[in-house]
Amino acid sequence: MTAETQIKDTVTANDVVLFMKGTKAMPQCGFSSRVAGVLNFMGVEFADVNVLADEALRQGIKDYSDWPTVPQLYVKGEFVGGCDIITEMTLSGELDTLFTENGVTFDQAAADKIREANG
Amino acid sequence: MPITAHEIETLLRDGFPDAQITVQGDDGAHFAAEIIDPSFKGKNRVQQQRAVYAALKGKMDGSNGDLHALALTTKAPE
Repeated sequence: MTAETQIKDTVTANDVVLFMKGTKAMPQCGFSSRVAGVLNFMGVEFADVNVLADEALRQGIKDYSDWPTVPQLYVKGEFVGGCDIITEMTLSGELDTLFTENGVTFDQAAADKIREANG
Repeated sequence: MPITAHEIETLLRDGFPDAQITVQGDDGAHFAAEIIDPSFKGKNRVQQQRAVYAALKGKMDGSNGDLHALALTTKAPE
């Protein structure tokens, strides 16, 4: 299976996917850690894919989205953004909207708490 | 070869001649850049940041990229 097919299958089979360095339990990069942390805190169920475990995937995900950095968040198969974009969207509430529109369950109180703490 | 904030700013300046650009960071690895450019108007954040990455000409790419960590803020002028 090519990296592209593997990525397509993963983002199709899971509503929310985070391609990251390390795992959601043990991130290995500050940017990956931040995005995984937000999703964990908001109680979002997501699939994590460790690009460090597979060199073909590490390059493949960059080609797939035409985006040169990791982490990369996908919702319903669509590339949403990297760490900076997810951070901005979390603080502005756009991430809540995106999840709601796509039927992704999350803890609203936790999301509000993030904004309160970083307001 | 570690990259400097000044080199990043030069690359960005070439790509966005009319932009207001601020680059911070002096450890050779972790940087933060803010780019405010009229060309960002009407583009979403993914499109804006793709344009920035394009201006950086592959410096972000791969495990051998010069630039590991660049926090980006992009917007159109108010």
